Amino acid sequence: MHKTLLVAKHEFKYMLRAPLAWTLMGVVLLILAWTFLAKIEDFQKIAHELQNFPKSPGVTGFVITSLFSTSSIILMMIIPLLAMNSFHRERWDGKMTLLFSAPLKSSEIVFGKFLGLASYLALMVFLISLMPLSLLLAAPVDVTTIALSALGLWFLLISFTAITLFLACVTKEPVITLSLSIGVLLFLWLIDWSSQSALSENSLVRYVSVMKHYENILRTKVNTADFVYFISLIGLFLSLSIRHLNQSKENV
Amino acid sequence: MLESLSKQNEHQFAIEINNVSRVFAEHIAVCDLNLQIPHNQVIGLLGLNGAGKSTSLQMLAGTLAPSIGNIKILGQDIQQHAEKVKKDIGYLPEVPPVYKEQTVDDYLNFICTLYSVEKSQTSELVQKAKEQCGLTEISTRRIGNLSKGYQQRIGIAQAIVHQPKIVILDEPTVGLDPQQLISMREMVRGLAQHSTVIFSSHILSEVCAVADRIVMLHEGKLVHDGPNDNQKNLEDLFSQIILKGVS
Repeated sequence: MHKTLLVAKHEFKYMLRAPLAWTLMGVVLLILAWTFLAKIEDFQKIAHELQNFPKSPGVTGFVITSLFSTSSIILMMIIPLLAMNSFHRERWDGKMTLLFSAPLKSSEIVFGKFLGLASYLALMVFLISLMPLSLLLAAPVDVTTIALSALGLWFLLISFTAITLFLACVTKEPVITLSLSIGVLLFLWLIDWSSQSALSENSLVRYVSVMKHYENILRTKVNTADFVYFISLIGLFLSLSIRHLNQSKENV
Repeated sequence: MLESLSKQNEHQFAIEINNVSRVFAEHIAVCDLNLQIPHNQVIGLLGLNGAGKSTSLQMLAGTLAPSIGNIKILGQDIQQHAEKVKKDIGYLPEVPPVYKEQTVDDYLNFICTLYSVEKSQTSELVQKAKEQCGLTEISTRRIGNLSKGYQQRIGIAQAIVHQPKIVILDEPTVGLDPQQLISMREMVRGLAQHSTVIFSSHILSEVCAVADRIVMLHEGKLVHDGPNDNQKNLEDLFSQIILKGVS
């Protein structure tokens, strides 16, 4: 555990020094801030009309859920850019050899890198959450919804990270990792789209859909199964990464 | 010291390589290698490019598994007890594995933590490694801003900072100027007081200047293994290999 945390700390520090990580964070926050302000403006325009409806969404449903929903789609495109280099940059300049020759298990390397990225994403989710939290100054906002939505968004992002890490493990070129990751994540989104239309009756499709579980959390219809789903997805892809790293020592 | 000597005596050899081969697709990089290396010896691994030196050293460092055979470090199989055995190994690969965004001090401290060095000993060991490799004056500089020669020395420092019993250096003299080359030779000789050192080179004079014993590889096979006492014979053999390659 100690060495996993050491690798995680190292990865997190790298992210904090990497210009790409800061650039992406800046771009994401700027886009989300713009959509957030636009949503508030829209809400203000129709707030009076909404008062006539007993089950109207309110500021939480109209602005906050919408913000977290938009965040998931934008970040789905950003995660592959952030995570694709996790293994490639170390393969390029021979540092993978340093990790392999040190008394470290493959699991410590994979979990360490994953936790480092997860910490960076926690920082990003925290900064995103500050936007809806700022509404507390002017309106009654459901803090539990914000907290649950932020947790859900973090779980969604680290699931995407686990998938990208696995793809970075099995491919030799970062561009290939990037293309495959975007493809896989888009496919997961398309499953959600299909689950809303033609295949909506298929319970397996509904269960496999990442976004469906995320939406459950956003609508505060959360149950343990949603978090178990994310943890299983992360566990599956991290295990595959560890397995691949172990094999790569045999087949380099 | 006494404890470490008695532990060493438990195993007759520091390194035992038994019938080791390594195959990449259809290419045999190392073929049926057998070596027994006693404690505190300096072994020079000589061969042309593609002779199998780096592959052999990667297998010794535990970063690559042999296709056939086994390797024992201090009496323990490196595949079966990888984590335990690797604590006793310091390895400099062909390309120094440095984090260019870190300072020399940060990097060496990170290596100490990776190798579970006691916190109370870390600063002393880092200082010692820096002195041995001539890095004291650049401790606070970012590695990425340093010359290739310095980066090579930092690579060597990371291999010795945790005071391993086995030091494996793959082409350690690459990128060093003549003055650094001389101090490098002295450093390797100094390391042999406490460690077994195995280093590779494709330059005969380099190997002869430092090694106690010279092992020559050609096309993955062992073609010479003997003490460093007859440079003339080695020159003849190495010339034959070079000429064979040219023809």
